[in-house]
Amino acid sequence: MRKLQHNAVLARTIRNQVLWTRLGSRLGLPVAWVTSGSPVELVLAAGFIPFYPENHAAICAAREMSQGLAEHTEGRGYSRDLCSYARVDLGAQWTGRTPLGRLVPPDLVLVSNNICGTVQNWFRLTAEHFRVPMFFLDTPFHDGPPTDGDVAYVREQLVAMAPEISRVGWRRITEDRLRKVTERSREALELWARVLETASRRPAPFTSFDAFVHMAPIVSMRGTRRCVAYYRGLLEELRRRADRGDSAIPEERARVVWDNIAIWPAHKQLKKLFERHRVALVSDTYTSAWTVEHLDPKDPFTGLAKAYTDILLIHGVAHRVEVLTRMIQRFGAQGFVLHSNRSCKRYSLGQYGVRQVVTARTGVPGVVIEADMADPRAVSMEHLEQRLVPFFESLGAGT
Amino acid sequence: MSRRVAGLDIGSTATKCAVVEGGRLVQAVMLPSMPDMVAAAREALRQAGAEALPVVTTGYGRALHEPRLAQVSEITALAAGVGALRPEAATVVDIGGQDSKVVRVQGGKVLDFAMNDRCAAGTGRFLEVMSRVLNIPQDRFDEVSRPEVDPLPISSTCTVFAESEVVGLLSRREPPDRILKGVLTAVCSRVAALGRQVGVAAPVVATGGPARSMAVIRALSEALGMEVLPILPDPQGVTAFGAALICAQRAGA
Ligand code: SF4
Repeated sequence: MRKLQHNAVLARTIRNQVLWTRLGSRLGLPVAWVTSGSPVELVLAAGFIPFYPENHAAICAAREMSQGLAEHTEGRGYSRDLCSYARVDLGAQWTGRTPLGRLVPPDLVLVSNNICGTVQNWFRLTAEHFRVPMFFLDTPFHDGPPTDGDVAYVREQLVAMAPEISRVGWRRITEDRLRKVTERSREALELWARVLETASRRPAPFTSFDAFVHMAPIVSMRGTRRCVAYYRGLLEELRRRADRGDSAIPEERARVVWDNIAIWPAHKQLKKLFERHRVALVSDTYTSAWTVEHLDPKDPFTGLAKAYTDILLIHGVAHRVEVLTRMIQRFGAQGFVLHSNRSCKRYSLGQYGVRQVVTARTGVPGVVIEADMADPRAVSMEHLEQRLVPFFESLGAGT
Repeated sequence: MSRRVAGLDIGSTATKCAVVEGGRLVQAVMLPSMPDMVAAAREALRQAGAEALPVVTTGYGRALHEPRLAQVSEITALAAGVGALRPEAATVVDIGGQDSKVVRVQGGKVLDFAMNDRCAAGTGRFLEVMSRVLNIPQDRFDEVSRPEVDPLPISSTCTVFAESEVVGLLSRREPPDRILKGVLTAVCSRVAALGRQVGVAAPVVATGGPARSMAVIRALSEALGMEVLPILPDPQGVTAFGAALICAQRAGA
């Protein structure tokens, strides 16, 4: 077992990104606050610096600041049942408290309901707070693959939005600029997919616990050259590790896959729990939520329309069953863990049924654990151990 | 040569110790865990004459006792115990003090399980609260909740709400035996709902303190729609026994 060298590179990359964002905004570059599922390529092409409130909320949770911020939002009358990312980020906006030192105010916000309906309200409040325009991309929910009509509907909105976004930005969105950005996004996503794929090697040189943190650049720097360079380096390191037989888990005894967002308040403890029981978390639905093949530099608008109507959370549960089944087979997993995330209804609804169907299809058992991605008051390490330890033992792993 | 080994189940309410020799139970001890789990564990081992034996710990406080050969989760130990006592069992329903579990088993191994640990409804805790409100000690459940009694429906599943509901029924002078039967029905239907998560297959056995009561067993059978067999005489000691068997295996005894 050897530590990833790229952990240090990641820390440096994130630090630089934060500094760059702050500096850029001070130099007068426009800033766009965007959701993880919004077509960030548009704002990049218009010269914006993107900022990801969801990512920001996750950082708050990992740095143990999320509870205080969420409580501030609840104090203003927002229910504890709302998504904790929204509660934490709004709390940070309203109090000005953030682990990043200072928040860079947006010049516009860009939202798509392809991940959930919550972001629509959360970003509307953000737009009101900073008195900036909000751009909204409506994406139809579908149970099968998106139809041509779905794609045309989304494409039309993107085309209509582009000149308006250009007006707020400092340069016009041209097909050429969009093509370049899309090409870089596609390249980074492809590298990222290959990074994740390395965990199919035995023993796994990399686990989803690593992926949860090393996904930061693909979320927040997608479309930039630095992002591509980052994943090229990471992929190289992982290939070297795999060739040497360096494993992420000492004496890997079982392999499992994961559904839903990470549990940030318990990230480190959970990682240790898996390690102690010699269980490798080899893949998950969260870090692999994008599909690469749609992005098309030749026809960037259509490519974007396809890509952003085909992300994981816009599909029904049948799709989730498909994704998990394929993942279990591909990564040779003996079990799966479904994190029932109190915050994210869109992600968690139907998991008990998904568990039964996936087991029936693959023959491997699954376990449901209850927690929250960012609210430590809804995370109990004791509960997690009570569920996971017997599950690991039944897979032949243990201390 | 077979030698003696021990299993120690440090539960949230009771600590149980089992000593096994050649696969057979030779000694069993049960003590309250509170107020000091560590002391209770040591005392249980002393009373069982197992202080010098290799021990596998299990239960809520399993990491608290040293030295130990290994620690395993209650579910794994429970399955091992049931596997030895009722090898034909396919499903175990365990009603514990703080949680309830439904475990699908095969030959002493866990196939799948569902667990209720976030809410007192459907656990021994619920029964404890209701026993107090009704002023009927748990060892008198069988005497009061006879087969011919018609249950009064308790609609709240939350322990706090159900408690008020029971108080309300008592103040309306409803007969306590019908209320108790309703309480048992409510608990068991919660457990049955848990069972549906993993699919309940016959034969079904029941463990845990409340399984000592035939009234509970009857209510469980009704809720599951199939016959449930208690593991007698000590449904609460199965997990410690299973831990001892695992100990024997690992110690090569
Ligand atoms: S965590 Fe779920 S509810 Fe919250 S913003 Fe993301 S998709 Fe929406």
